[in-house]
Amino acid sequence: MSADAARAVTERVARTAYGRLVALLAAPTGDLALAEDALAGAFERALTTWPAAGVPGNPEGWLLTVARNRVRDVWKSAAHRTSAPLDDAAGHAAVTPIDDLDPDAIPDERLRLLFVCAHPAIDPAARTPLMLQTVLGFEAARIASAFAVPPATMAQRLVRAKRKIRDVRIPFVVPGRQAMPARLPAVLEAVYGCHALTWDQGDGEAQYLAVTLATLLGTEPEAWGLASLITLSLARAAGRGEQYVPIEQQDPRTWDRQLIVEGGLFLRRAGSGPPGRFQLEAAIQAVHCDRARTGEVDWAALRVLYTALVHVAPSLGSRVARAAVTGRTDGPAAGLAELAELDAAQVTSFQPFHAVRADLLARAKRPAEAAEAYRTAAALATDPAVRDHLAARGR
Amino acid sequence: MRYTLLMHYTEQTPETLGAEAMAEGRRAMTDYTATLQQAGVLIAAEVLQPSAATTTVSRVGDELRIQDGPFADTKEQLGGTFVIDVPDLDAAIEWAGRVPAATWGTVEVRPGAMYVTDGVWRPNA
Repeated sequence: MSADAARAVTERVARTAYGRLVALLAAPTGDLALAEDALAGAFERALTTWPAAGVPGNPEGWLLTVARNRVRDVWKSAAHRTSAPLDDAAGHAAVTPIDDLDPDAIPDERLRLLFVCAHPAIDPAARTPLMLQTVLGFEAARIASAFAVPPATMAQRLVRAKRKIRDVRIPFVVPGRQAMPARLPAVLEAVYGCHALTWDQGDGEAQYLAVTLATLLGTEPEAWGLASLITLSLARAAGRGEQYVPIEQQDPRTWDRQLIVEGGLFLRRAGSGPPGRFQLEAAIQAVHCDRARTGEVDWAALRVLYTALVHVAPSLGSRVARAAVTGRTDGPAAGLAELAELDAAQVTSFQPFHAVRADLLARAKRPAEAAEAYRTAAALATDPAVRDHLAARGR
Repeated sequence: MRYTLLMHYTEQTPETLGAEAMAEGRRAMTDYTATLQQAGVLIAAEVLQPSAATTTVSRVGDELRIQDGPFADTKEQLGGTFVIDVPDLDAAIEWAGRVPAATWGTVEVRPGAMYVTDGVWRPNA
């Protein structure tokens, strides 16, 4: 077997199994940094041994064994014996044994790891980066660029969070039924953050994470809502080109039909109870995606969904979006009236407000004001494609 | 694993708070402490006298500096501590949430690094 082939196998295993292996290795000791180092060492050794010896029948099991031995070596080292009693580490390990070499036979520890990453004792700014790194295996440098912070700053934030998890002993557990309502939103929020930061790279890893989360939790409606939302928005990302195109002008033939069907199924699995924020946002995406079938946007349905969303999660973004929809159902003047009710101080630097207002002014046949609003919106846009789109309409 | 629960709150006297509320607070503390004891997690507890009783000491070179009052003169003062021994942070947070002072102030949860038994320092774990 060539070195290239061995590299291809390790890369595939890294993509599919990284988070599972990190979670398995870290759960007994709570030491994420050690688990990652040990796994990195195991991957390194795979790259040097597999080309000659051949890829083992169970590459994941092989990597787990090698990495686990490394973790044990560190725990047995003098450094750890003086800083923490070994008995305790062994006691922990006994609770979640990692002796079983078949990862498929071991309960998935990733769910616990997600709850650790989004624990209330962890800095909210570190939660999504932690998930990207430990569960999805993203390089720290890539995470830093996604968050537009210097790599050293992000590395520091991640190191501090991992140290806290280990030192204050945040347990690797899934909260019980009673604590779940308080703990789940932060996990969903962080997974959604993973999606928002990575969707344009088109590899669907956050979607995979959201679906895994929903599947492992089983019957959490908002987890299915999030899985649906991410899946449906990924379905539309397929046809995205260099230029920004507003959702209702996108060509539905470029959307991924398979993902649309899956997203719809996930939303149905969320059930029929009072919908939360993610279910409503998924339903809004589903209405837009339905245009692929019906050929038109059901604005009335969107008005109902946005009204519910504003009620459940009253954010500036959802209120601006509802005003845009009102502009379609009740005419541009009604939409502009809704915008006028928003807090003037808050909307001054909120780009979507100016973009929606510009569109409503154009529909109300007030071209001069529309052009000015488009220019304001363009000046506030951070995404170059969005900026070009708004600037073009302002001319 | 040992955690110290540090209670911070605005200091009150029977005059500012009312004798009844003061007695109610004491009862809540007694009940809470009994619960900790029963659960077998209580290591130590102490409620401090008001910060006005504080004397702050530091040594600069050979000079011993002695000052009236607490190190930081803030609205909320450290009022007392519980030291508990529980498996993990979630358990410590659960107990911290039940400290009566959590309703009239805040409770900091800090894992210990080292502690002394029989005059010997031991790592906390």
